[in-house]
Amino acid sequence: MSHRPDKETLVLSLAPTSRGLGFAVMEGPQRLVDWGVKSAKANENAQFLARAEELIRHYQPDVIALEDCRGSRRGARVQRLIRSILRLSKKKKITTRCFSRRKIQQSFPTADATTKREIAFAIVEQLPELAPQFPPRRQPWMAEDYRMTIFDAVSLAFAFFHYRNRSWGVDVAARRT
Amino acid sequence: MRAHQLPNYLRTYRKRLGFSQDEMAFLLRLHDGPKVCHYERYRLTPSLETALSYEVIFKTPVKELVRGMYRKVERSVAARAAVLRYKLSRAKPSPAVARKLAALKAITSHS
Repeated sequence: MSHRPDKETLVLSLAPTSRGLGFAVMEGPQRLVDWGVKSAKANENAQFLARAEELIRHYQPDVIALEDCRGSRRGARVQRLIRSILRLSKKKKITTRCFSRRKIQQSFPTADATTKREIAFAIVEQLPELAPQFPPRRQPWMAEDYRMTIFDAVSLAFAFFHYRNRSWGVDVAARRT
Repeated sequence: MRAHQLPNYLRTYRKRLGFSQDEMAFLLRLHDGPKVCHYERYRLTPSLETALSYEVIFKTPVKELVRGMYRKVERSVAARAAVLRYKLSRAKPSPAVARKLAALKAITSHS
């Protein structure tokens, strides 16, 4: 293999929603180690947080990537959960990077992907193992497919690798959580 | 650079192929899925036969599947090789000793 995964940063990206905790573990921009959705009872942030802690304990990541939900239309509970994860990672002394939806969109410049579906499609082109998770086209009367959170999580990890050598990601160590 | 590595990538390769843990247990001739889970969560180390079965299923060398564990073993062997090399370097020179020293040098320089 040409790349050296053993030299790469292990990134755990978490995308919590009201229905589950989407996660992705990447070792470099081309190697997806694990992915999925951890289910937890709705309105039970403690359960979501326990799932996140389980993932952190298992993978011991170098970096945790999360959505920067400041000024976004995210629900209050999910925003609280993201803040709890930030506190948890700070406690465990793990670097955290947060990316807004705009920054995520900008990290897919060649694919010209702006919508979530376009971003998911661009991800599948780079990581074909995620093709079975690609949800069907959403109709106006349909709720978002739960598997879309996997792509949200992977897009956060992609954003991390895209901005790795720049200072665009928000360093939460310097931010009050 | 990462300070540590994941001990194995068995879960990654299984998920890539889309097999469940029970299906994997069947292919590996194990009695149940939980054992596969233990391997993937680094609680158990697969036997040599199971490791080779993984290689056959994933068409990937065992060394790649258990990269973290391999690196750990490699470092450990290299450390012992360095000790043996030191001991042999003080022994009476002979063609046999020279051959051993060359082999040990290769081990220590490779890791």
